[in-house]
Amino acid sequence: MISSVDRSAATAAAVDAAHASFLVYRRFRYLKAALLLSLASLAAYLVWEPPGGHNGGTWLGYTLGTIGALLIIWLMLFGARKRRYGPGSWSLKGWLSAHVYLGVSLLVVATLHAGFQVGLNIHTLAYALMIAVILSGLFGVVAYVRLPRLMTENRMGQSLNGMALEMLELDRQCVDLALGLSDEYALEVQRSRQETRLGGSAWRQLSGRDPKCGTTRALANVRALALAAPPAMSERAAGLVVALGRKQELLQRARRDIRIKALMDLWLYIHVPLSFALLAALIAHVVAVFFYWG
Amino acid sequence: MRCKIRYLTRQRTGRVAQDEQIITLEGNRITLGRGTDSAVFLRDLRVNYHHAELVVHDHEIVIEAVGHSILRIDHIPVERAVVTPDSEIEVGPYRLQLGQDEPDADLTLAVELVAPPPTDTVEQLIEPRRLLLGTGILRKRALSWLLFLVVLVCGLALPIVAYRTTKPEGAGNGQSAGFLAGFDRFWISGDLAAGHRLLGDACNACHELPFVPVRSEACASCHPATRHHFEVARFTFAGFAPTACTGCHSEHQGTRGIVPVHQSLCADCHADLSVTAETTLLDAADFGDAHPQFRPTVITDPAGGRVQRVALGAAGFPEERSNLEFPHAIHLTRTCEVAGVTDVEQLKKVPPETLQGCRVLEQARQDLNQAGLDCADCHRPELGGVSMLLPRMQEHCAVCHSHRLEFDPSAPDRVLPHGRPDEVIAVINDFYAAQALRGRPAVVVEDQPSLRRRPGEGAPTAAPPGAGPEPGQEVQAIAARKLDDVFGRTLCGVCHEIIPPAASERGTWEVRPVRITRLWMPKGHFDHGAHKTTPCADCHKAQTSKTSKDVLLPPIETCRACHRGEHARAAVPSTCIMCHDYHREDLDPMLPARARAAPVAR
Repeated sequence: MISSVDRSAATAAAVDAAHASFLVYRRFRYLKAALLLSLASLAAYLVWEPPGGHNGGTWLGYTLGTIGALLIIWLMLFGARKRRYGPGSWSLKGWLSAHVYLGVSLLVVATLHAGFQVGLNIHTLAYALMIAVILSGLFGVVAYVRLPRLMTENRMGQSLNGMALEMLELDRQCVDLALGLSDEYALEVQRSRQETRLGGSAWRQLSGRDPKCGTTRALANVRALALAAPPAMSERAAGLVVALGRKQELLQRARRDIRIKALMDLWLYIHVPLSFALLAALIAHVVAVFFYWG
Repeated sequence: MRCKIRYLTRQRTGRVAQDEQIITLEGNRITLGRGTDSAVFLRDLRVNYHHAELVVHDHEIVIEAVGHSILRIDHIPVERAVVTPDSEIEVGPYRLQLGQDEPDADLTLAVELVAPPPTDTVEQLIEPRRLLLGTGILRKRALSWLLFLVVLVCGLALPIVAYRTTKPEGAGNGQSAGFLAGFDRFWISGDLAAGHRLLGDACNACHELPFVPVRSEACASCHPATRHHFEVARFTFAGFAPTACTGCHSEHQGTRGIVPVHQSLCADCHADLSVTAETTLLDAADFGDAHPQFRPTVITDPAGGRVQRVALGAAGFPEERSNLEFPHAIHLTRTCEVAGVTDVEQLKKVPPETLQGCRVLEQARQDLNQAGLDCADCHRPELGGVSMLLPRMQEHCAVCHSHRLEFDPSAPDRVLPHGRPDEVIAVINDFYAAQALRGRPAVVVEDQPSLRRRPGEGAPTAAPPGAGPEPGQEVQAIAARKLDDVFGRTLCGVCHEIIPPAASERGTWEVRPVRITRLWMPKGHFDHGAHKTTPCADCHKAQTSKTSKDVLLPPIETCRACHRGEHARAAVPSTCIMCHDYHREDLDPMLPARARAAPVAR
C-alpha cells in the first residue's frame, strides 16, 4: 500500500514532469541520443579514412546519408503529429524534445555525410536548406524558452482580449467626456476610436509600434487643448487626458504582446516552408545520385 | 416661442416610442447641437457642439449650419436652406422633420436617431486577420508548397528533361543543345578530372542509362588498352576479383583527379601477399617502413642473357657483367696530373704548350671551371628528362680517347676505327703489308706496357730503325703481334672484354658486345628530371667505384632520407603509385575494346 507521503511525492513528481521544459524531457533522453548519434558518426568519420577522401559516395557516406534522410523525413512528421490531439504513444513534448535534439544532430550527420565538400549544385542546396531549417529551428527553441516569460510579464495578468475590452470601455468614457467638450476634443476622441488599430503587416506586428496610431496623436492634441481649456471645461478635459493616457498605455502593452507573439511565430514562417523546400531538394538529391550512379 | 420637440425611438419591433419635450425660447432661434445648452440636444459625438440653428421667420423657417458643420436637406449638403414639413433634415446621425402646425406650439420638430452609434467590438480593434504574420502567398502552407514545387521542378524535373533532350554525342563533341543543359549541370557533384573535361556536357558518355552505375565498358570505349594488374586466371583467390573501373577510379572529384593514389589500394593485398598468394613477390606496404630493399635486375651473364634479381647489399650480391670495364672513380676524382695541376688556379698557370693538345684540359682552361670530369660530361638526360641516356664512345669517351686509337708510333695519324673489330684487323694487316712493300721495316716497340697515354702525356719515343728483325717475311708475324697487343693489352682490351682467336668460333679477335643495363628496376619508375636539383653523388656512389661491376644504384635508405610512406609528416609522403604502375603493360587488356562513341540507346 502506498503511503500518503509517497503519493504526494509521486504527484509532485508528475506535476514537475508535466511542467518541465521539453529541453529536459525525461532527463535529457533525446539529448543523449543525439550526442550518441553525433559522436558515433564523428568517430566513424575520423577512424575510417576512405580511399580518395570522404564524400557521400563512400560506404560511410551512404550510411550517414541514409540516416540523415530518414531523420529529415521523421523530423518533418512532427508537423503532422503536432496537429493530432491526444497523447498517442509518444507525448507531444517527447516528440518536440526528440525533434529539437535529433534535428540539431543532423548538423553533424549531414556535414560528415558530405565530407565537407560543397559546390554549386543540388546536393549543396539540400545541405544549405537543411542548415537554414536547423538554424531557424534553433531560433524557435530560444523563442520558446525566453519569450513566454516576457509575454506573461508584459500582460500583467490580462489577456489581449481583456486589454481590448478595457480599451473599448475607455473609448466609451472618452465619448461621454467629449460630449460635454468642444468639437476639437470630439474630433480627437473620434480619431482615437477610429484610427487606432492593433496588428497589421508583419513589420507592423514585429516592430511593436504604429507611427500612425490615432490614440497617440489624440492624446498629444488633447493634452495641448486641455492646457488651454477654459476653467469650465478643464476638469472634463483633464479626465479625457487621463482616459486617453490609460488607453495609450494599454495599446503599448498590447502591441508588445503582439510583437512577442509575432516573434514566436516568425521563425516558423522560415522553418516550415524551408523544410518543404529541403524535402524537395532531398528528393532531387537522392534521385540525382542514383540517376547518375557510379 | 414655444416649441414641441418629439424624440422618436424606433424599436426593434418597428414600434416608435416618442418622448415629447416642450421648450420655451426667447427670440426666434432654436439651437441644435451636442452642447448641453442647445435647445435641441443631440447627444452624439457625430454632432457638433453647436451644429445648426433653426430660424423661425414669419413666413418661412430657415436652417443654418454653424461654422463648418455639415447639414443635409433631402440628402443634399447645404449651409442654409428653407425647410418645410416635407423637408428631411439630416444633422449627423439624426433626422429631423418639421411637424404640421399644432395649436399649442409655434413649432413642432420630430427628432430621430436614424444611425445609432456603432457598437465598438473587440474585433474592430483587433481583427484576427491583422494578427497573422503572413497572408496570401506568404502563408506558411502556400509558401511551403511554392518552395517545394520550385525546388522539385528546378532540381529534379528540369535536369531529367535536360538529360532526355541532350543529344547522345560522343566524347569531345558533347555540346548539348538548349538552355536546359544548365539544369543538368545542377546535379554535378564535383568537377570532372582534367582529362575528362573534353566530354563537355555529354554526361551520357559515361552515364549511359539512368539508375545504372557507370559500366566499365563505357570506360573501355575510350581506354581499350587498359591492362590487368595480375594474371586473372592464375590468381583467383578470394577477395581480389577484377572489379569495375569505378571501384578504384572515382570521377567528379575535381582537382583530386581520377587516379587513386592512396597506399591502401596496393597495401591491402601486398602487405601480406606472400601469405595469401603463391608468388615470388615480396610483401610491401608503407614505403617508409614496410618496403623491401631494392632488388635490381643485374646482368650476370651477358652472353647467355642471364639476369638476377638480388637485394642491394645482400650477401652474394652479383657483379654486373656488362662486358665493359669503366672505373668511375678514376674519371671522376683524377685531375690533371701532368704538371701537378690539381685545381683551376694552378691550371691557369700552366703554359699552353705543356698541355700538348689535351682537349679536356684545354677546354677546362678556357672555361676555368673544372680540371676533372663531372657526371654530366657523360650522362645526359633523355628528351623529356625522365631517364638518362647511355654514354657513347663517339660522343663522350672520344673527347679524350679517340685520338689515342693510333697503333703505331711511326704513323701517329693512323687511327683505328672504334666499334668495328674486323676493320681494325684489316687496317693493321694492311698497314704492315704496305710498310713491307715500301721496304720500310715495321718497328714494333717491344716491352712497352701500353701505347695508351693519358691526356697530356707525350708520345713514346720510337726505337731507332734497323734495331728490329729483317723486313719481308715477318710482316704477318708482326701484324699478328700487333693485333695481339692492340686487342689484348693496349687498346680494346683496356675497356672491353676480348675473345682471343683461340677462343673464338670465328678464329679471329672479337669484342664481346656491351650490355649496359638500361633499367635496373623495370617494375618501378624513377624520374631523374624530378630530382635534377639533387647532386648525382647524393644517390650514386660513383666517386668511389673502381669497377663497372659495381651496381651504382642507391639503396632504399637513400630514398627514405626524403621519401616516406603515405602518412609521413617530416618527409615527402610517397605512395606506391609514385613509382609503380597498377595496370601492367605485359598483361591482357581488362575489357575488350568496344566501338567508340556508340552509347547504349536510351
